[in-house]
Amino acid sequence: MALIATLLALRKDARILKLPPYLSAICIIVGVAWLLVLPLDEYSRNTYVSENALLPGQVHTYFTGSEHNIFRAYRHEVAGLADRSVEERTQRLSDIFRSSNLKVATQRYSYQAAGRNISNQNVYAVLQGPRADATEAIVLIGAWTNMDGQINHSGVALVLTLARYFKRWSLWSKDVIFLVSGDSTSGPQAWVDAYHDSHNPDTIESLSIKSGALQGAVAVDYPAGPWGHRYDKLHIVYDGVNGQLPNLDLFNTAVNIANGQMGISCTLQRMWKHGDSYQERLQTMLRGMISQGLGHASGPHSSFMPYHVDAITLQTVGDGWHDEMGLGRTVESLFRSLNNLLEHLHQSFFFYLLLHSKRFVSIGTYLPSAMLIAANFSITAIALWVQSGRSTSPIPNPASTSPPSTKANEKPETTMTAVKTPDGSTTLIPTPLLSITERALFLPLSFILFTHFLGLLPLYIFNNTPEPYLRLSFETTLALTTALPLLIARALSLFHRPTHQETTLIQCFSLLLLGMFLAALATLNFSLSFLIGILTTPLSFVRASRNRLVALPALGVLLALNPVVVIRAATVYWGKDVVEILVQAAEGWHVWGLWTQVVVWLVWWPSWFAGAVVVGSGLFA
Amino acid sequence: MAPLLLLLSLLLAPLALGEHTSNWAVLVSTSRFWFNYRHLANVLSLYRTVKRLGIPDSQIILMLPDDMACNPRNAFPGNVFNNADRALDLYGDNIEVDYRGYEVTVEAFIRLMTDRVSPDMPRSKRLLTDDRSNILVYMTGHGGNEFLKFQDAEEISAFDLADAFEQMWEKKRYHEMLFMIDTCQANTMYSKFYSPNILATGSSEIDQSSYSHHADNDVGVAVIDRYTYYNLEFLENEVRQPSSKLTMGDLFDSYDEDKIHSHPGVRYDLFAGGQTAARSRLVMDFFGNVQNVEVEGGVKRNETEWQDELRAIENMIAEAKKRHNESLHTSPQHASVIDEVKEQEAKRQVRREGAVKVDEEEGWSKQIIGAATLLGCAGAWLAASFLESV
Repeated sequence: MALIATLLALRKDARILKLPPYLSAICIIVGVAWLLVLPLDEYSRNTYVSENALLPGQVHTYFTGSEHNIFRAYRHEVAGLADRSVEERTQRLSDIFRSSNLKVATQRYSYQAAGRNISNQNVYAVLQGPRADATEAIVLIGAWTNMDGQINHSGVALVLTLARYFKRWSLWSKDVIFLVSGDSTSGPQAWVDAYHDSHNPDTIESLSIKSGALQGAVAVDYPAGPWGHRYDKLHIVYDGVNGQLPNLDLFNTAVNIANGQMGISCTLQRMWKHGDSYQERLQTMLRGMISQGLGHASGPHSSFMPYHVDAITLQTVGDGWHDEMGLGRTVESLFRSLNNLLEHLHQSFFFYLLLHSKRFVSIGTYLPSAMLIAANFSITAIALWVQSGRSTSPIPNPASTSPPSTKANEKPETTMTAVKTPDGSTTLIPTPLLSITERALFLPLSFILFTHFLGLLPLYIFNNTPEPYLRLSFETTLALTTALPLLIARALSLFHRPTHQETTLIQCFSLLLLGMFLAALATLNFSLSFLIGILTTPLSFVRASRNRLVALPALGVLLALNPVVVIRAATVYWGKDVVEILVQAAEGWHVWGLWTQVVVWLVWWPSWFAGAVVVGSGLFA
Repeated sequence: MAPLLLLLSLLLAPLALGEHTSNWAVLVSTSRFWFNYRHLANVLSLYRTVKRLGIPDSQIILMLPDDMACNPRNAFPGNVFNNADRALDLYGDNIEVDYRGYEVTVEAFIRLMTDRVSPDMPRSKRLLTDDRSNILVYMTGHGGNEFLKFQDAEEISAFDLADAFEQMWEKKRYHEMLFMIDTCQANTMYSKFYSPNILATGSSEIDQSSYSHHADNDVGVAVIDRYTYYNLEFLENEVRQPSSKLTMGDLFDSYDEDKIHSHPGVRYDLFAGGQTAARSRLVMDFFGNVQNVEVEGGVKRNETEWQDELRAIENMIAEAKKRHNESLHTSPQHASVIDEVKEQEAKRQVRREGAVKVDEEEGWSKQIIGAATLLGCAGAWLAASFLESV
């Protein structure tokens, strides 16, 4: 009882409000440190194939010898189609598939994004498993152009050759679909959407042939021209749209087969050299996190992930001694493994960070990091809520044993109220302690609501502006968002608003929402949550202050961390054109179903805006 | 006198060694799915071996939960191999699978062993053994400490198995049993047995895995387990004739832990005569078919004797009842109970048919009639042949 009473008494202690900033800071420091220790051996694990049925690399591959001649012939066929029209190309590819006795179909699609028209055609062929029951299928993709816009000569030729080769085996327990998509992002998206009947039939043609439920997809990206090119490594690309990842078993199987069976080393996240040191692991992880955080499509495989179809892209990189037949055999063995599957890939992880082709961290280990960052905002929000309910006049502590300072003696005594306790005695309590402070909620709530609705404006503008106007609208937004908080703060100060309590409440609600959003997001897209969490950490510590020495640096930091400024800085750092990024984002919004901009404009930007207005209001008060 | 005794002991010697009159085999794979190909290959290999050594299909219960031969993933449709050399197709065209697919359950297995089956269960799915039957029980699948998984859906525990075997003993369903199991932590499966005359052996100790022997890279899966592989190696290479005199001890001594990669175990303590007796049993006592015949007693049985005895008992009861009634004026309940008993006895009399004791004296008249009939026939034949010759 006594303990509870002591704890309850502590609630009113003024010192308790001094604690939260330190708690928040500890959360952030631990959260970041947590991420930094992940690459250590103690916190990461070696990858392993968890699904018994896969049996990677247990079969002999026979894709050699005369198949090589066929491959070379197809590669010249493909090269001959490079400068032909889409119609002619589709026709010829269909004929080749048909000559292998496969059922062939084509699909036209067109999308509108950023004022551009993306239209092309997909060709695909279905190999019906001779003894299969046609309830499941696996997909082999060769996009006509890869992510860099190069024609995927050898990749498409390999798909054609493998189609012919696979047709001769009788051991398929699932149908195999060979897809030559028009490009690397919208083509597979149109196809997979239509496969699941979730397309818009006005612009995207429905599929005339279908097979069973898709169990996995593998894309080949091998742009070597008609005379071939020997490569050094396989670059396995696995990021899906919105940071969704394929089951780790698929990645592990690919690495296991390429590395263990074929002797082709594998790499990931553009780490062309990976010595498995701490630094390289950390770099791989951070690159993976940025790629996941952006949520963009990273290859033809990305479109499959939203439909829970595990998919990866095998990309050839570097100059080495591995040839196209090695890649073909890798794909053959990979498909034999997928063919062994009895149920959807589910055994291994869907949430992971890869540090190396054979090392990973699972969600249980890394999640606390982003959660701690998110928790820091919630802690501050709660502290601010408590603070907003406190009386502003100081409450003396009559029971204090320390001698009152001389300054306190000069001031008049605080008023005291006599209170009768149930047992008849009377006690004197400082009046401010008994007074109830009302919270003025109208302005803070309407302000937060307004801010979040304001975020819809840039969201709409950037998703629908035609390409030529994108630069202009971006620079305008950059200037406007920088000036707007100060203008709003100035405008509010004309009405002698907001009061100290209102600024506290604005900040409280803003941080409360931010903390909740980020915690929820951490379970879906850890990287995005973590990155935004880190970029918004100053919001936990800035306060409306009249002291210019405090307010101006705070404002400076906030203006530098304006989401628009951050995007600009990032494009400069990575040497990208901002328009290119915006066009891709618009394409993502209209074609892939990308959600990153929603998080940026409706979570990140409003919280930053509220914080900046709070700091600005201190300046103008 | 002494030579007579010697002769007698010589005559009885084979009887003492092989007291069983039939051999049965229960071969169980408990796992399905393509990647468990080797478990089905294990069982089919054993099936082939016991068949070769003489146990007929009618006395082999084969439980296969999956059909590897017809799996679409099988690069060799219709075939199952237990070796990468693919010299021997285990599936062939003469396989009798008694329990297949989802019929292979813990319940079905225990019902089979204890013969608690419904009356319409076909004979091919029953273990029709008696107290003179030797049974080989071979199981393989995925297991753990004191359990064996059945088809990803359920598991049989070591206790279930021990209780089932005890029930078999109580029901006189076996004479001697060889229990052989190839699974991870296999030796725990027989650790709970408590019924006599069971010789048990397993592939690995507690906390030990059992490993596959090798994979066939064209089939794409492991084709046989190590323990089974080396058992088969012994059985195929050493036990070539049904007349083989190799003992179980020889088989157990052939286990090489370096080759099997786990520690196989043998449990002798339940066996009558312990280790020495168990080790001296012939391999053929369990893996082959031995045709020992036992003539019942050599004494003429009288099927009507029990009726006489029953009548005597009834008289005794009637006597007792009379005495009781005289002393107590008892209620009529007893009488009705006895009536019921009588009715049941009457029913039983109707049902049972057997040899009846024939009165010798009554037979004479029937014999005279028979002789006269024969004489009449002979006369008719003579007359007919006489008439024909005319």
